[in-house]
Amino acid sequence: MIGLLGIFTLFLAMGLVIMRRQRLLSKEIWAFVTITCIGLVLWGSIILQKPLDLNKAIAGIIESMF
Amino acid sequence: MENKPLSALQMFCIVTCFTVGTTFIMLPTATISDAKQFGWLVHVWSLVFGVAIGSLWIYISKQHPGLSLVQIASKVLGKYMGGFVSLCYIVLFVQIAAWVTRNISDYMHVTMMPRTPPTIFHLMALGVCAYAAVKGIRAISLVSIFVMPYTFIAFWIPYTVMLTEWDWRNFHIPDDFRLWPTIAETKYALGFPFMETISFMMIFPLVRRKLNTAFLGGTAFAGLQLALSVFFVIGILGVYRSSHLLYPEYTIFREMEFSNFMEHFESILSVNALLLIFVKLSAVYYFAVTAICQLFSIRNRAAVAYPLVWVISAYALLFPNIAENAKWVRDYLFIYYTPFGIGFPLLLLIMTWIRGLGKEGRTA
Repeated sequence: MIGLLGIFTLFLAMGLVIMRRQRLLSKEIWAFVTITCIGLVLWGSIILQKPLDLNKAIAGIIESMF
Repeated sequence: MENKPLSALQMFCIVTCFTVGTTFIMLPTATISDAKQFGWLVHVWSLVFGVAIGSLWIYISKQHPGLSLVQIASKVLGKYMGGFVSLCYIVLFVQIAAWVTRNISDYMHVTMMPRTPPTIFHLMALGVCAYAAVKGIRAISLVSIFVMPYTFIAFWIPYTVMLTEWDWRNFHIPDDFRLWPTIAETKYALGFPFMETISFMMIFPLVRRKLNTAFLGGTAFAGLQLALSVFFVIGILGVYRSSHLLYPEYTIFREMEFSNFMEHFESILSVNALLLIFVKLSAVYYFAVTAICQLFSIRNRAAVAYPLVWVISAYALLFPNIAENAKWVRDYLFIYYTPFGIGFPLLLLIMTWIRGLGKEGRTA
């Protein structure tokens, strides 16, 4: 988990530096940060062995409907 | 969104690569297992379904010239409802990208590199495809123009040589063929890959001429290849053996012998598989990135494409193994794809008619 957080911080920092240099809009910076954070949450859930499994959720919904 | 148009040939090649993509390594076992010696017929009616449903999507797109799927949804259903539908499609594109990524790593893990962790394949594939998505659909489609003829020749020439092993008795297994129960049992073949191609509605506006021929022709050409390859698998390996193999086409290539100095033809198949899958993954990755950019008015694709590697690489790990993946495809895929392939397009069409927003409505 510490390794994951390290990679996340590095990725985020590098991305933000590059985006600052390219003078991107704040909307684009927010999109970058939000999507990276969603990825972090997914990775975190897998590493902590409590995966946020959308496939299982979809299967469960379909099972309950039919 | 990109403004430079795509030619019909570019569209044809990219649709063919996308449709063949992971299907020819994932589906033969399942369709032969379910429909026995009639497994190849499953792919024939699936391609008819694919062409029919593709015609509906093209009709909707032509009602809204110059607009992609996300833009049509926003225009027809309004900002919030349209935004919700677009968001659903974005999730679908990300899911397809994750499943394709997982298929690559499963194939490589089983056939060639059993000790390499799947995440290595995921990150390598996604890194390349994110770059391709940033470069744009023209770059991806140009790659598909090079890849498609090569894969066609490199697959079919060696494959045809194996016809020496052909046995017609493989088609004479006593089995009652009942059309509707077989269609119901193999309905996943309708969804995968023929409902996934709805993602091409994102680039329909870029094809100014011969869209019908390019899209429907690409779908039909890929579907015919799939049907023919399954027909060959049954004729060469037989129903029993091919339905018990994970990748029957790989086994056919592995058992090929031309002469003493030419061997290990399975590597050709693996290169083919990788090339096709990379085109498919790049295309669907591009559709996901473009859909996000259009929905949230983002101009720089790189700001979306590179962080998506995090999401897709994690999502690709969610199936514990190939068996779970195959079970999900068999049990849930068609039902899950139906709203995206049929439900939302019909909703868009009906709302277009009701609100008089289409081309026909305006000219009336």
